[in-house]
Amino acid sequence: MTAVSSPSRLRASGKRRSPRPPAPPLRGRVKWWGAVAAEVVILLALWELAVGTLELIDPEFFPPPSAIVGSLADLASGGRLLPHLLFSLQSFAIGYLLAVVLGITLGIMLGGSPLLNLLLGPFVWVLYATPKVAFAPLLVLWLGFGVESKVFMVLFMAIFPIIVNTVEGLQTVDPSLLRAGRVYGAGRLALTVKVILPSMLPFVLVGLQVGIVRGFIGVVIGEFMGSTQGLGILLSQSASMFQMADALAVVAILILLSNSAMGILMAVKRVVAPWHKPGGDLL
Amino acid sequence: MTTSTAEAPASALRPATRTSWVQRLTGRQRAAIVTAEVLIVLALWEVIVTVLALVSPVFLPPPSRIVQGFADLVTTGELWPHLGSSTTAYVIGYLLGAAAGVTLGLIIGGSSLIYKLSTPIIWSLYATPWIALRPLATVWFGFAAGPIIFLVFIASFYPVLLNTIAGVQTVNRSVINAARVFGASRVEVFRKIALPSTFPYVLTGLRHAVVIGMIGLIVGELTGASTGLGALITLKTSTFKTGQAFAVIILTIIWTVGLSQLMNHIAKSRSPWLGRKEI
Repeated sequence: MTAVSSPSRLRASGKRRSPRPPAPPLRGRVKWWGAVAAEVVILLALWELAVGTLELIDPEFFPPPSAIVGSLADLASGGRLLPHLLFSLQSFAIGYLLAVVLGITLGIMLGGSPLLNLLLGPFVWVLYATPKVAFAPLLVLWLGFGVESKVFMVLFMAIFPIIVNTVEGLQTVDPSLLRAGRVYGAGRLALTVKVILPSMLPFVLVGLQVGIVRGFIGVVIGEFMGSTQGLGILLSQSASMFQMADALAVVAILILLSNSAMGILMAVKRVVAPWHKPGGDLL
Repeated sequence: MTTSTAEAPASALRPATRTSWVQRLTGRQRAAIVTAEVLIVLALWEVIVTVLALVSPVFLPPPSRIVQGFADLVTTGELWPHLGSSTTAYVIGYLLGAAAGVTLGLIIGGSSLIYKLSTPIIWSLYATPWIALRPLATVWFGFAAGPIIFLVFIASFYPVLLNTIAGVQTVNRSVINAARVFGASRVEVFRKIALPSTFPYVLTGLRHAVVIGMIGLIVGELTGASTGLGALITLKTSTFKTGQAFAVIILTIIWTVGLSQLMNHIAKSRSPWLGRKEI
C-alpha cells in the first residue's frame, strides 16, 4: 500500500482521503491512441492495396475498406441500419444491466455466506464452465423471436463471469486489513464500506469486462438463431446473399460497439479503482 | 471458484474469529451434501413437470425424458457421426489455434518492438464478438467442416496468444542476467530460461482455449452446419425433440468440464511449483 501520509486515513470513520496514484499523463494516453489510429490506418491502406488495386484476393470474397465504407454509408442513409442497430443495442443494454445487478447481488450472497457457496456454488461453477451458447436454440424456442430471447441470452452469458469474479473479490479481501480495521474500531458497516468494497471493486470490474464480451456474443448468437431484427440478422442475411461488403460493414459496427462498451468500462475502472493494474484477467 | 477449505479465513463479512459450521465440514461431508442436493433438485424437476404438469415436457423436459433422449440417440446410432465430426473439427481447429498462438505469442512477447506495434491491434480486437465471422466463414470456407475449424481456430488462438505474450514478458530478469554473466548466448537464454519460464503461462492459455474453443465449435455448428453437436441441438430443438436436445447439451457440458479438468490435471502435474492464481 502507499505510504501513510495523514492520520485521518487510519480512522475507520471520517472523511475518505484515499490517495490516488497519478493517472497516466495525458500525453502518454494521446500517444497510445495516436499509435492505434496510425496502425489501423496503415493496415487499412495495405488491405485496400492488396484487394482493391492489386486484387490479390477476389474483392467479391473480401471487399476492400473502400467498399465497406460505401456499404456503411448506404446502410445508414438508406435507413436500413438504424432499426437493427437499435434492436441489438436495446437487447444488449437490458440484458447486461440485469446481469450486472443480479450478478453482483448473487456474487455477494455467495461470497458472503459459506452455506450458500456450498449449496449453490457447484451449480454456478458447472454453468460457468459450460458453453452456454448451446442453450441458444432452446431459448428461442421458449421465448420466441423477439427481444426477450436476446435479453435472456445476454443475461445468461454475462452473469456468470460477474458472479464468479465478485465471489473471488469477496473471498480475497486481505484478512490483515480487516483485522486492522477492527483494531481501529470499525463496525461491520464501516468495514464493509471502507475495506471490503474497495478491495472487491477491481475484481467486480474485471468480471464486468468479461461480461461485456460474453454479452455481445450472446446478442449476436441469439439473433443468428432466430430474430425479427438485429445486427446479427442483418449480418447473416447479407452473408447468405453474398453481399460481403454489407456483411463486413456490420462486423465493423459490432467491433466499434463492443470496443466502445469496453472503453467506457475501462474509463470507469480508472476513475473508481485506479490502483488496479490493467490486463489482469486476460479473458 | 474456490470452496472454502477448513483452514481458510472466514468469509469477509464475518469477524475473523468465528467460523461457521459450514466451514468446518470435511470434504466428504461437502460432497455428500452436494450430491444429495443435486438429487433433490432432479427429483423436484421430475415431479414438477411429469406429475404436477406445471410446465409442458416439450419446453422443459424432465430428467426422465432427457435420459430417454440420450438413449434414443445412442441406440439409433444418430449420435456418433455428429460426435465424430465435432471431435475432428475441434481437434484440428484447437491444434492450429494453439500452435499459431504459441508461435506468435513467443515472437510478439520476445521483441518489445513487435509488442508495441501489435498491442493496439490485439487489444482493439479483444472485445470483438468473433462469432460475428460465422456467416462470413461460410462464404469463405464453404458448407463443410471448414468454417467450423476456422471458428475453433479463432476461438482458441486468442487466449493462447495473450497468455503466451504475458508469459514471455514476465521472465525473471535477474535469472536472464545471471545466465548472461555465465556466458549464455541469446539463443541459449531463449531456450533454457525464457521457454521453461513461459511454459506455465502457455499451459494456462491452453486451458482457457479448451473451453473457449468449445464455444467456437458449438457456435460454428449451431447455424449453417449439417453435422456436429451444435447442429444436432438445433435440429432436435426445431423438431421439438427437446429431450434429445437437452441430452446433447449435457453431453457438451460433460465434454467441456471433462476437458478442462483434464487440462487442470496436466498443468498441475507438469508444473507442481505453481501455487499462484492463473492469469
